[in-house]
Amino acid sequence: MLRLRALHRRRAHHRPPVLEVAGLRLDPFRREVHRDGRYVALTRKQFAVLEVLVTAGGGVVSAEELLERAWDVNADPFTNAVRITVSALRKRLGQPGIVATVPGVGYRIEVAAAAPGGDAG
Amino acid sequence: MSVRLKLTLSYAGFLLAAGGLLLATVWVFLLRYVPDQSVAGPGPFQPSRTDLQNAFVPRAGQAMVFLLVVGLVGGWFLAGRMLSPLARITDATRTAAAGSLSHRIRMEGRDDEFRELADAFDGMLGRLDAHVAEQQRFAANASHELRTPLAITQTLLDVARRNPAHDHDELLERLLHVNTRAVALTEALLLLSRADRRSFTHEPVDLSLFAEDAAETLLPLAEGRGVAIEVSGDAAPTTGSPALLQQLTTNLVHNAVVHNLPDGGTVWVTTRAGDEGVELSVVNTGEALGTSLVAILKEPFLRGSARTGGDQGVGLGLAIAESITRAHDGALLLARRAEGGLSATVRLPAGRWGR
Ligand SMILES: Nc1ncnc2c1ncn2[C@@H]1O[C@H](COP(=O)(O)OP(=O)(O)O)[C@@H](O)[C@H]1O
Ligand SMILES: [Mg+2]
Repeated sequence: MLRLRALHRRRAHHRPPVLEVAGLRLDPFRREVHRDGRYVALTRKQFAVLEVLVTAGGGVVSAEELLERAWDVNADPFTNAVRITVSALRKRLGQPGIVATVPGVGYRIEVAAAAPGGDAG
Repeated sequence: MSVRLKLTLSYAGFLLAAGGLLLATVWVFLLRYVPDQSVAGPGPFQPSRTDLQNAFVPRAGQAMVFLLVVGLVGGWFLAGRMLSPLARITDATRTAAAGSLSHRIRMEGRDDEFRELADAFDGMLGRLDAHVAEQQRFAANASHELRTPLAITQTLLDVARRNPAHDHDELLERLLHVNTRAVALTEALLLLSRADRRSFTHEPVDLSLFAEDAAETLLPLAEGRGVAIEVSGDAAPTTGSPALLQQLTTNLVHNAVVHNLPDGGTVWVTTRAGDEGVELSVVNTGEALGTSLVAILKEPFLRGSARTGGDQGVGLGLAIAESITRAHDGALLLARRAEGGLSATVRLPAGRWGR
């Protein structure tokens, strides 16, 4: 019982912080995403991809890096997984588009897109 | 008191009451008006009321006794005849209760309430009989399937014990493979019984999320086989068990990937929401299937094509999909595609939660 509580406290301390960017609110601990206050249901891979992109804070992430971090290092390098998951993720996040493709380089979160008037919450 | 006795007594009682009423009528409207003194006169003999009563009452009494006897005997006989179908139905019920479901009443005669009851009872027996037979067949199949990996394990272990010097790596590998199959089979059986008992939560869910999740999970398998998976469609909100509905979707997509063309096949997964309900359809390319084969694909332990691959299933995928769908008050429809392959459609009631 005591040990459980201690574990709980430790977990609470090490709870990863909630990430917020461009009207997106991503809670890695509860595995929940809200956009402009609206709950967005995501699959595991979609969430993992978004988490990597949000953590990069608007920086470009290459497809290879996404594959490594959201899938695993041994994933087939010729897979369509990233492309498919990103396009499904875009559809789920809705308009205006927030995940941008940087041709030939990778993907990033469009930080400026929802800046004016966007209530993050 | 038996129903037959009750009917007999009411029949006799009714006859007596009718007789009594007749006699009362005679008294009230006839005898009362006859003068009580004998009128002695020059005319012919005029009976007084007393004379009439003396002559009539004993006869009336005899008639009443006769009516009572007729009522009792006739009533007993008639009630017996009326109730005899009931005795047959009771006998049939006892036979069924003793465990024999093959017996039928097969009541002949006119269409009356008893005939209706007997026919309904026969129908129920028929369904029970079929159900029990299906369960027995299922249990026999399941035990047989479970025995196979155990028997293989036994053989492998026997061989290993007889050659202790032999390299054990391959043995371990094969044991692991066989055991994985046995675990998968057992899990499938458990899942089936859980769906059949309908013991699961009902939560608001969206089938389109399950479709994307299944595609994600199965993409490596599909790409390894040169099969493309395309997911499209709208949100499909319904209510049910997330775990079971995810399993249902995964089973259908898995089948569509595995039973596809050897190379260059495609799987289309589509979700739709309408007024009547929500729909998930999984369509795949593949070999042409016969209509008669498609009709029985949902049968447990049936494996359609003879083609054996590494991902040979246990033959419960569609049986599980069917029972999960039914447990959610939906329908699973399978149709062959003229171009080859299969189209599987799940229809579920629409969820009463916001879109
Ligand atoms: N999408 C499909 N396309 C073609 N055949 C299929 C498809 N789904 C199922 N089948 C056929 O139905 C059979 C039973 O399917 P299932 O119950 O999932 O068992 P399993 O996949 O384990 O063999 C399969 O062996 C296959 O022949
Ligand atoms: Mg299968």
